[in-house]
Amino acid sequence: MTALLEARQVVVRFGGLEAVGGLDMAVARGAIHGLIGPNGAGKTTVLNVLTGFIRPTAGRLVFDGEEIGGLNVNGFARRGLARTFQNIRLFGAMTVLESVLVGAHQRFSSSAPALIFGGRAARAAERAMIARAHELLTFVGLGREVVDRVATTLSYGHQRRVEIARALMSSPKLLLLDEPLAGMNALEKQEIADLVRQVRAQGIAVLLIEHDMQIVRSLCDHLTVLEYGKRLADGAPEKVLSDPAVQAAYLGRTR
Amino acid sequence: MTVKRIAAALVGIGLLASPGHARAEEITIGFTAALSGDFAAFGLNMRKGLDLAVAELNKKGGATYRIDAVDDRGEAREGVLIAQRFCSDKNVDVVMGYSFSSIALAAMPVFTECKLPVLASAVTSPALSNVSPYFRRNVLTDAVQGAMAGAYAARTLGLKSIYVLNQQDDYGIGIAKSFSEAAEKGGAKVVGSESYLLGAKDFRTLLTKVRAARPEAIFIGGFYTEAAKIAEQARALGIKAQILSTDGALNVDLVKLGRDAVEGMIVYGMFDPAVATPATEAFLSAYKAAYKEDPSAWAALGYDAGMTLGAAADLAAKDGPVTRESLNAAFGKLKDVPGVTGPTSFAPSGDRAGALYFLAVKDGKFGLAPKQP
Amino acid sequence: MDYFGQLLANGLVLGAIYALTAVAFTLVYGVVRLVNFAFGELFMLGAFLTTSLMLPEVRLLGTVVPMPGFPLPIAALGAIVVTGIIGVVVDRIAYRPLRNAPRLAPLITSIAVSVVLQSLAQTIWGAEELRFPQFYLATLEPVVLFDSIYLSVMDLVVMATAIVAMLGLSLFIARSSLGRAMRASAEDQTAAMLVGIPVNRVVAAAFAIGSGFAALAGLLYAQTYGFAHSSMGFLPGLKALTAAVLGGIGSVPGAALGGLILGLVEALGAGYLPNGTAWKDAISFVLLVGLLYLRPQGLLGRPELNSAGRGSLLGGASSAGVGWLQAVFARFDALLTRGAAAGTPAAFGLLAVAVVVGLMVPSDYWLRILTMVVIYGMLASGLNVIVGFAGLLDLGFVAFWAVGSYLTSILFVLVLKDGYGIAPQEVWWLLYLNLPLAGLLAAGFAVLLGTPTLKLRGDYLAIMTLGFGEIVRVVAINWMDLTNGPMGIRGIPAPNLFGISLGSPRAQFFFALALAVVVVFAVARLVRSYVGRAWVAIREDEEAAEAMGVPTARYKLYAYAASGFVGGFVGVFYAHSQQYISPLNFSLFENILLLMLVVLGGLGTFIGPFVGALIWIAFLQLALDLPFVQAYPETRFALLGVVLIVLMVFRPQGLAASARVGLTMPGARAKEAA
Repeated sequence: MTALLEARQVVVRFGGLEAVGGLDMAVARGAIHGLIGPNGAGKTTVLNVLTGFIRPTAGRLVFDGEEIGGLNVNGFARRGLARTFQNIRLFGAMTVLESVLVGAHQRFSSSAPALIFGGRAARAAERAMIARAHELLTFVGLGREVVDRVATTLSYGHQRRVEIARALMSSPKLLLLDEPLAGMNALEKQEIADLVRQVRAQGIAVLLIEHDMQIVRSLCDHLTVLEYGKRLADGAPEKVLSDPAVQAAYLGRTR
Repeated sequence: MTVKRIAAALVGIGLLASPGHARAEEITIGFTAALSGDFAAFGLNMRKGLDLAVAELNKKGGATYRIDAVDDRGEAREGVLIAQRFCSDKNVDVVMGYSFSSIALAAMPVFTECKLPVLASAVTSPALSNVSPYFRRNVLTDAVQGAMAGAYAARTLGLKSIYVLNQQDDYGIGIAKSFSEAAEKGGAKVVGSESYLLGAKDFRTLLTKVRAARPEAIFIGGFYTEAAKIAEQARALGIKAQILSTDGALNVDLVKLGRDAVEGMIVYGMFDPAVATPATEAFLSAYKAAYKEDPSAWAALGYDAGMTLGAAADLAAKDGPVTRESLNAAFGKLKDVPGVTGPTSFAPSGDRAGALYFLAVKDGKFGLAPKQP
Repeated sequence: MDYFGQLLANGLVLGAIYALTAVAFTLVYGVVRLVNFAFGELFMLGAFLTTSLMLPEVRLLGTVVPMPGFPLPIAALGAIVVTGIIGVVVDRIAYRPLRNAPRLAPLITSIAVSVVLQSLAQTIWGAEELRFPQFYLATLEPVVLFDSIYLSVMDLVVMATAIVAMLGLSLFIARSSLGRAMRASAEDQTAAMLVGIPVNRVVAAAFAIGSGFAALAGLLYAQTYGFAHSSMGFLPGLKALTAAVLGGIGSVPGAALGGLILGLVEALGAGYLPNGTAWKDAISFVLLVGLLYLRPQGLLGRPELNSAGRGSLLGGASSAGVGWLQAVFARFDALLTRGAAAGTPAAFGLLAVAVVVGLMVPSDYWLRILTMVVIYGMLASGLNVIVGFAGLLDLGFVAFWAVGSYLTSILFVLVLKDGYGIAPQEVWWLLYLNLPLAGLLAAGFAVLLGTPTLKLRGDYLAIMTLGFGEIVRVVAINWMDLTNGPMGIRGIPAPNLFGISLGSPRAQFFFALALAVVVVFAVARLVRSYVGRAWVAIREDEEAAEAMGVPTARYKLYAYAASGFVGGFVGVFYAHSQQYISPLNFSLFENILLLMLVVLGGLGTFIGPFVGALIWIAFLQLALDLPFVQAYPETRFALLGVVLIVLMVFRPQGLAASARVGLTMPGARAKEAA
């Protein structure tokens, strides 16, 4: 079986600085794939490359058998890569429902006249997407009472869930989460981890950046460890985490 | 502050004097022009002349006159609104003023609809001829003025090469066109022409171009504010050509702004402060007494418009009450109303026939130019 | 050679003055990210103050007042200091309360400050130009280079002053502690505050120095061209802003370079192009548009400044507050919130009110005013699509409006009537065809103009679109074969339906109202769908929107197109309602006016543009009857400016901001509840 997403020899240089150096990695279909490494290892840079935010200096990206390296960010999203952000980026002044509906953007296709004159198909699409948004909000654990609140006024944990729901709205094949557990207590972390498992249960692969090794060990099927923008280790969590090089990298940093 | 207070006081005296008369007709003048913003000077000058005329008319007895002034700021969107304001106000019997042809053009359909007569004093566009049976003006059209000036430059002054400059608006374009045609017919050669936007300050580049063409004279189809700057910057660039301009430049402020540089400049206008007729004399002294300055051509036209209205109102009053309709008819019947800019009568097109004086700046003052057509 | 040399010399003098003013814009922008439009007026004040101090007596408010008659250097110094103080006061009153307010509020107050200062200057110094007094240096014979390049001694003084002032400022910023604090605040205001820099004092210093530079430029300008006048600052101010953007706003050397380039390009362009002087103003904007297209951050600017700017377009609030005023607003807000929640029924209610008003108002005059309110409300609604919903600060909207007005006027008058002798009444139906046609044409035009702006954000975008608006206007003036130039087009027929004239004020009001229903309905349908959600998402966070699969570039163009369509559509009716149009109708000020209406009313609401238009137009008409305004016409706009500043300071989010618009299709939500 071919990998869902494959990065081959990806290099990113900012000026003279090499942030990512010849990275090879592959995310398997239906996997929960962890991307870990010490601070400054280039994890977010890699995630930005994989979602089109940063165009790599060299290397190839293949998603679902298609070369996607040259696409715009929205092209990545349209192919089925959806993401959340390290610092939550919800749309201010929009309600939860509206924010989540933005995630479904690519699934609307009504023309302007159809929208203005209230075409039947346009109405049906809107209705279907609103229903789906409600489903997903329930799925991520949010109640009906938050639907019409302005998203940015919710609690931190709820905002994370809205962001995940928004990403899921596009029916992605791969969900990329940038530190989804940051700033949460143990209970919340477990809830989000369960949520990630449920996402995978629907056949959506997940790539996540995470620092909490407890959770990573229990949650992920596969890990890629980065250090200084290079791949330090890759494989099953047990194997990778017991690798002396990885331990050295972490200990060396955190001491 | 004081000038307006004096004018108001004069109007007040007029109002007090009037109740003694049996037929106390009250005539309201809707006055509109640019009274603020970039081009307020023309409107404010017209207003001063009109205020003086109104004060005089009220002193004389008979009908009393009052002014409802509305500022159009030179903004086109105001034209229709102000016209409707006057139309809807049943007290308004006549409309005067207007600084810009374009705004008058926008307003005329509304006035025609409500049959309110207009007597404008500063709008010269030929497009306004025959625009409406309710429109009249006591200023010559730029087509007529330009032609007279062109013939004067070529035939009377015998100029052979002229560079034509004009401000890029209906006034400047119209006048430059008729001037150039008449000048070429008279045997002069127009060696170049350029336009500039109204309100421009920097003419050095334009004049560098003019200097390269070495003309014998420069004609400026525009207002005194720009004419003064063109003259000054031309002299600073070493251009010694004779400068000619229009009634737009005939303004005491031309000399104040241009000083030495405008010495010898020839302009034309319908009003010559130096011509000492008794009527002019009285106007000059009354104006100076009220405003402590010399009147400009626009003040003179505003004043004459006021006096013309007085004549029309008297005429209309002979056949009954003064109404918009009877005033309009009376305007059409007027014959040679005397005024400081010469006699006023209106052609069916709404235009006025009249003569131009050619004036030259000498020792910082306008005087009759040595050569007249 | 002598021709080129003279042009070069002319360009250098002009460039020096632009550069000095550009420094003012750049300095303040660097510290507070505010385009302070009022610098044009501080420039004017510098000129007036210097002139007044140099004269033995001056007429102020119509009364002759004795003056000290200082020599130029002392008068100049006095003027610079006084203007600097005025600049600080303006910041204190009009901008400081708005530091945390929505982004456009201070921009609008800066325009209002301009209006107030200009009107006051005209009240004080009068409508005529004030001659700059003669002094020794100015009477010297000009320097003649190569027999043919004339430079007056004062021209050389102007250039030398500019160079000294710039070097002095650079030294000050580099060496002094205040200068370093300024740089730190420019980098990161919050961090500067944390390390103990008194940011408010630094901002005040930037305003003082900037205003002083503007005053210096103004007095040099007045000296060079020989006069001072209340409106003299507007165009140089705009050019200086252009120069600052050209050089990279925020960068002092950039401002100097931008000013110099602009001065030279204007002089050389006007000198070598046929009828160049008439096109001069367009030349600088073409240069600007071209440069920003290739290099969005300007010549020496930092790329990160080309960002959406600090703060949200909508969020945030004023720090100023008065108890009772807040209470009034609170009640007003509750009403609006309820109205917006009611949606369609509230809209029908408002429409019913408008219809009743249209039937009941007896005065044709007030009907015309209300028609104007509806027209400007519709135009502002069009602008609201691009500014309020998509968050793109567009200052060139008037161009689309002009396209519609000119299309119908040219067809009816210049082609059919003048060309083929067809009376407008015979082809009355063409008006109804022109409405959508002009909309489409203007939409196409908007996309064309929008494409090069896609890389630009925030204030850079505003300046580039402003440039487009101005180019279109200059073209309308100068392309006489097409537009009849400044003479305008007259005889445009009043609206007509099956031979029945709809020219009466009442008929026109209802015609306008019907169009407004169409415009608001269409805009609302687009906004309350995935399209509107995409626009708002772009406004709030462009990158996140892109990551959600929104092709942001395409949706920005859609916003331009929708905005342009409304502009063209309304433009057609505007021409028929005015029956005469000329380039005067589409001035630069109209752009700013429309933006003010939207911000005043409330960005991103459907009712806001109409609220803004009603307040603005009704105020201006009502103020006409004040006895005070009858005596001093110029105070009307000063009064308007003060009202605007007060409204913005206390209500920066706009009056009707609470009438928040839902972004889902109305029917779709109703079903879901069941």
